[in-house]
Amino acid sequence: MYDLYAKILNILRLPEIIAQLTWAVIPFACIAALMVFVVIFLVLMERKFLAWLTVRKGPNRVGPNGFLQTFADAIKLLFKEDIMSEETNKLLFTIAPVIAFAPVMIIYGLMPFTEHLIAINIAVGLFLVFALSSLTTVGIVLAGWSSNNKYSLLGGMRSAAQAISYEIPLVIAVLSIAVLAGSLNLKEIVTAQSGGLFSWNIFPAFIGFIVLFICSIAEVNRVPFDLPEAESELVSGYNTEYSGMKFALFFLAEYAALFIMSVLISTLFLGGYLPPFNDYLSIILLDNIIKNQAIMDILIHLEQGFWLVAKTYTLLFLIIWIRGTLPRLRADQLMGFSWKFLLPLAFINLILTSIIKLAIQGY
Amino acid sequence: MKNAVNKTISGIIEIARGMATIMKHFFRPSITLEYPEKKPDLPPRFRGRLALLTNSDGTDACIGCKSCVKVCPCVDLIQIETSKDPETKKIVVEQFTIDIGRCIFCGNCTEICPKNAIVSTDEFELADYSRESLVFDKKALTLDPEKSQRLRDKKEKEVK
Amino acid sequence: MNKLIENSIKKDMLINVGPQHPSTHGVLRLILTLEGEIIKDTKPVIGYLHRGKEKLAESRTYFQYLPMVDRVDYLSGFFYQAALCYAAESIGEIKVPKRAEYIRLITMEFNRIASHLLWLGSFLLDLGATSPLFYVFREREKIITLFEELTGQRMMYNFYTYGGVKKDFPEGWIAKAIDLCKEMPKLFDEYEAIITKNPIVLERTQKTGILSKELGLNYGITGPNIRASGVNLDLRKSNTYSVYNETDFKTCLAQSGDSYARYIVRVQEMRESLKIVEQALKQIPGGTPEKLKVKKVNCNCNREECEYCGFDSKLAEKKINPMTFKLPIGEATAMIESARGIIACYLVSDGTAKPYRIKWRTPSFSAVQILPELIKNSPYSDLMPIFGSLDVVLPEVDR
Ligand code: SF4
Ligand code: SF4
Repeated sequence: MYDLYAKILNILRLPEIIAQLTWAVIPFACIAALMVFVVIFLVLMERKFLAWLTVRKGPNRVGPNGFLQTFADAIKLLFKEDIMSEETNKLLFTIAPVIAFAPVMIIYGLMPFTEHLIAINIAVGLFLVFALSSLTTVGIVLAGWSSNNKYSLLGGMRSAAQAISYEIPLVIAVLSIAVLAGSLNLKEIVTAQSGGLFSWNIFPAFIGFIVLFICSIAEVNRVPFDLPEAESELVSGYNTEYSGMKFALFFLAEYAALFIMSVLISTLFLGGYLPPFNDYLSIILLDNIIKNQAIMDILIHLEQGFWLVAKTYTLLFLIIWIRGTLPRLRADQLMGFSWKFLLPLAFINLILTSIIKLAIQGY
Repeated sequence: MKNAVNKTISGIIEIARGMATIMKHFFRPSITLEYPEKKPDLPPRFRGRLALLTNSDGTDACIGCKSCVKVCPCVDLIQIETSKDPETKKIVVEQFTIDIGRCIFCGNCTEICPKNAIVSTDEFELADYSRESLVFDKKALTLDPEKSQRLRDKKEKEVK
Repeated sequence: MNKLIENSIKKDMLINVGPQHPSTHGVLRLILTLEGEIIKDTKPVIGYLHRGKEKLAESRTYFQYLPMVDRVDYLSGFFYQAALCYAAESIGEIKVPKRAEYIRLITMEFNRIASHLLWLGSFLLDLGATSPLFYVFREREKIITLFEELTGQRMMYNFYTYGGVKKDFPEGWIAKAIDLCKEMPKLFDEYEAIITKNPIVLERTQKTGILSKELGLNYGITGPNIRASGVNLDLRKSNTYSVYNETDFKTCLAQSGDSYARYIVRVQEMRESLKIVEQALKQIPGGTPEKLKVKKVNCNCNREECEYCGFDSKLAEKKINPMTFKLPIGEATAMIESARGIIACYLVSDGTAKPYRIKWRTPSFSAVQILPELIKNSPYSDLMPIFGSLDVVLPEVDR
């Protein structure tokens, strides 16, 4: 691929060095584009589904059936005045959204969307994902503190407390996957699940799946764990004072994190981009018709993408559905739930999966 | 321990029941009225903007008795100026102003009016940019005989 | 330097909730002292919605004042008009026809349901659940539409008058209302499926904001709030005004006095109210307006006790003229059980066309008073659910 790129630049009479420098940026540009695209449609989807669940119509003015509503909202946010109150800590106030946003973007680079569509394929991918996802909290705490607003401060503190207590069951639940796959590389974790529906990790580690699902909802501050931005108590929590583009960054980070968490769950437990059958549908159905290997590869590639998207959106729908149903927990109940309920479950899960792994492998 | 397990199971069942109930609504028709395009159906008794009716020959139905002024809860909201016609000795209503911006649409004036000269119409979209433009004078309030007759018919049907 | 140390030792945080806050149900301001997230002290500041409803009465005639009382509590306007009418009727010894009383009862009970429904939605919104809000608005809309057909307005009805009601039911109204009564319990079942046993709702509402019997009585808490603490105080039973004694219903009680008990009491009360309405719609003297009209023409006996042309099938006593309406010298208090508790209207008449003094006793006022006691030492997250469970409507507090 790089050769092709260098050749194109060469034809344009640009020096080699530019090709070398820009080549590294291209994946990230793609990721950023993907992320914005994903978030825009995720927000639309959430609004539509929530509206249907509450017997409304949802956005239906901008574009066909309200399809372009989020674009309009994004443009509005871009042009909004950026208000900063006098007593804020200007520096921290400005970089807080960036700190909240940047790690999420890097996580996008780590995810194996399909077999080849993975920007950074490193051995400790899983580890890095969780390290980065907890960084977001720093941004939120900073935002809460630097706004010089008591509601924001409470929101930020809650967020910190919540992130710390939910990270532990989260990581322990994921540990069972590392045990099952014998690797921390995300791609290898996916490949280890090949062989149809029943070799997915969800079967040996069902409890882990539940724990991870609950924890990831808490991790991205969604109902019923949306305490940091509990509207009825804290106005809007940590982002009360934010407006314009800075607010948009928080918003983007939140929804991007929601999406990537769903991708992560499907990667770890639902076989990632693998189909629920023994083989790819395109191979089963079209093997005799299409003989060309290159076309076949492309088809398989597309199919992988399709499976991942399908799994992810099923999870997302579940999360939105939960949002439509449940009220929110109280801060102390939230902690109790994590420490007294999820943590023991996560340990039970770890022990169970280890036993299963031993039983299967026999050593 | 047993208690905790029981609680967990019942909790999961209840949450599932709640979610299923919410899901039922997914398939129900939406109740949204897409307002500016579709207008609500207003019942005949609806109390909207006030209007003055005219008789079929085009003269004012109002006789200038000022009963409506006396029952209106908002002081000075209806202002009527009358004069006596020197020839026919009849009272002529010269000015009739209603400050719709302050009207609370209580309907007291329409109930008291001996000639049913003042009525509530169906009009409810009254937002405007200034308070002055909400002060309706006699010309703006008075309906032509045709419309008056229609309104009268409607109210009559309702009373029956 | 000293001050710095002092500040760092002082752990309290003063936080100002409202008057602009997403969930203060109007404009209430609470000055809270927090220690961490625990509320140590609360000072409610009221008066942001003061419109001088009591003073205004002194410069208005009785009929001019009538439309204003709807606005004391915009969620249950019928109750306030009823209280004023009962007070005036007892001074003037005006008799109210049975049919008018039935119409009053039906509208008041429907109004109670509408008010409780909205409370349910906003209470759950305080807890963080958004969907029920839309469902309750859907149901409330059906009731409001009925009211609109009957009175001409959705919230500010101005429908009762001294000595009766202003208009009869429109054609087909009774059938629609009966249909609604049949349909509603199923919808209540749906709410209960979502809410009543939901573990998060239970966790958040049980054992929070416990209002003990003594405390409630001392502060003058009334209505569903005190009934949730096990005090059997229901004016509809004990002090029968209107025609409540002709209908069969039971007072809903709960014992624990926490937010959950208040929820349970209100939901049950809605079901009971539906029962009252259903009975009243069947028992109303004269039956449907269409039938009544035909019967009246056919009967035409003009005897006082006749079922169709007598006094009890009328809408209001002898034509009261709004222009000349006066009450004799005297004073009276009318108490009725509104959606939020006991409303009392104290009316002093000096024989002129204008009331000498009107004093309103509003249930929400007591409920705001008790708030600091209820939320003391509870976490900040519990503030709104407890406040919401008391069903406070701020215009009613400030009047
Ligand atoms: S509707 Fe009421 S407020 Fe309006 S003009 Fe008539 S009496 Fe006055
Ligand atoms: S009450 Fe009727 S007739 Fe009398 S002044 Fe008012 S509008 Fe005219």
